[in-house]
This record gives sequence, C-alpha cells and structure tokens, in this order.
Amino acid sequence: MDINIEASSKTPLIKTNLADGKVEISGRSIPENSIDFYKPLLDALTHFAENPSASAELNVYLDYFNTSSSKCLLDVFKLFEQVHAKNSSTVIVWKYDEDDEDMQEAGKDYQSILNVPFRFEEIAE
Amino acid sequence: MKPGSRFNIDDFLVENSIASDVLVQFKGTITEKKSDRIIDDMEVLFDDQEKKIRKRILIAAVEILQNVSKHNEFPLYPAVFLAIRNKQGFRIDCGNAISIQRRALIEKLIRDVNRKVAINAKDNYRKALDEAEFSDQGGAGLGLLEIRRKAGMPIDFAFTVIDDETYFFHLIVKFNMSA
Repeated sequence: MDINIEASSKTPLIKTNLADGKVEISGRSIPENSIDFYKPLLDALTHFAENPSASAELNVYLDYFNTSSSKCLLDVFKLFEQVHAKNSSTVIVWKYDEDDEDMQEAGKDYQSILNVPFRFEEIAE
Repeated sequence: MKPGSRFNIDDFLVENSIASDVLVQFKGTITEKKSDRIIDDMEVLFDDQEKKIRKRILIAAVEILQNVSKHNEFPLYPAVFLAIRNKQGFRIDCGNAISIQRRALIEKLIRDVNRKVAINAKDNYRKALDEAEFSDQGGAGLGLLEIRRKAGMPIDFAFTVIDDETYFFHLIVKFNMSA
C-alpha cells in the first residue's frame, strides 16, 4: 500500500508509488523519535523488497536532518540495498542545494557504507 | 562563579553573554515542544551570507536540545540554552543539572568524540553511522559526534557544583566560521 505523508515543520514529505518503484523523501527531518515516523515507510519497503518492481528509484532531498533520522534513513537505504541485490534496476538519487557541501557529503557518507547505486544531483537556487 | 558561591543560573546567563549579541536565550524545562520553538526562533536569525553556517548551527542546536530533552535527570531544575554571536563568531551554551555519578561518563564521551574527530572525522563518523543502534528514547547515539562535526572545533565543557549530589553541566559549542 502506498504512503503519502505531508511535510511538517519537523518531518519530511514521504510519498511512494511502489507499483512503479518510486519513493520520495523531501523536506526537513528532525523528529525527536524518528522510529515512529519512519515505520510506515520501512514496513512498506520491507514488503516491496520481497518482490520488487523491475526498477526502483528513491529520491531524497532534505534541508537537514537529525541523527535519529540519519539512522532511520540508513535503514530505508538498506532496504533499497536488498532491492538492488534482487537485480532490480535501482538508484538512490541524493539531491542537495547548490553549494551545500555538507549535504553532498552526507550523501557520500551513505554511499560509502551501502552497496546500492547513488546519483548526486545539485539543485540550483 | 566565585569560589564558595552557590551556583546561580541567572548569573550564569549573564556571564556567558557578556559582550555578545544574544540571539536566543531560554531558561526552564527543555521539552520537545520548547525545543521546537527555540529552533523555529533560530531559523530566522541568519541572512543569505550565512547559509552554510546556518545549517550547521541549526543541526547542532537540534542535537543539543534533543539530548537534554531526552536525557535530563532533573527536568524540574531549570536548564539553559543560549545562542550568541560575538566577535569570534557563533556559540551555543547549554546547561542542565546532572548527578555526580554521570559526570565521569559525560566527560569521557565528549573527550572521546573530540579525539575521534581530530584523528579522522569522516571515517569515524561513517563507522559510527553504520554501527548505530537505537536507544529506548529513539536516539541513535550519534548526537555528540554530529555536534562536534558541525562545530568544526572541539566541544568544551564545565561542571559546577550545585550541591552534594548534583553538578551543573555546561556544554560550550563554538563554531568554526572559516570551515
């Protein structure tokens, strides 16, 4: 079942279209306890990873996120790793604002510890 | 604070904001809601030239406030949060009461984080991220490391006696303006 959670001042937009293998996370992610917030997405992706579509794309475009979220995001990415392992054409698209080296680096941190293709997109202002 | 004086929070706030622009000041119980309000207040403080440092300060502030909100042993004893701008740049001071038993642990955690980042910030962060596990409060144990990385300078700290069983723990985070 697809997810459509609107962004709030502390939590990002989360939208899925799993029939097409599409997931979007965008906004700011600073909930004090991110486990409850990300659980629906993690459950949906766990199910998706059992029988993924032929291609899968996760678009991530965050302003900033706290360390509780960073761990949940890693869990999300690890599920994409499982999808990739089943030969689905998979990519995590990490978007960041122009000149935001810190956010670019955050994407590279994840890329370094995961076995799934990343594509980096700098978003002009 | 003078030797032999009783610790006074209002004096603490004055001493730590001398010759500075006080951007945000809070004294009381730091709850999730109050943390949100402090962050909202800080969001509007930075101009276009300060975009890079803005994010680093906000991320550090979120981690500092959420640490206190989650782990404060004495929520009824006022905590303080102070964000200032002075000639040297930006600084955050945060303080809360802790039990004497926790002092050694806190000191060790901060010294370890300062040491790890000094040795190799990138690799140590990536390793910590990969190995992180959630606590009962939903934290990932990465907060101090993230604060240190965003500050770009070693985290400083001080402990002041409140009474026989309690210290006031003062966290001092200065931001490297040239990083």
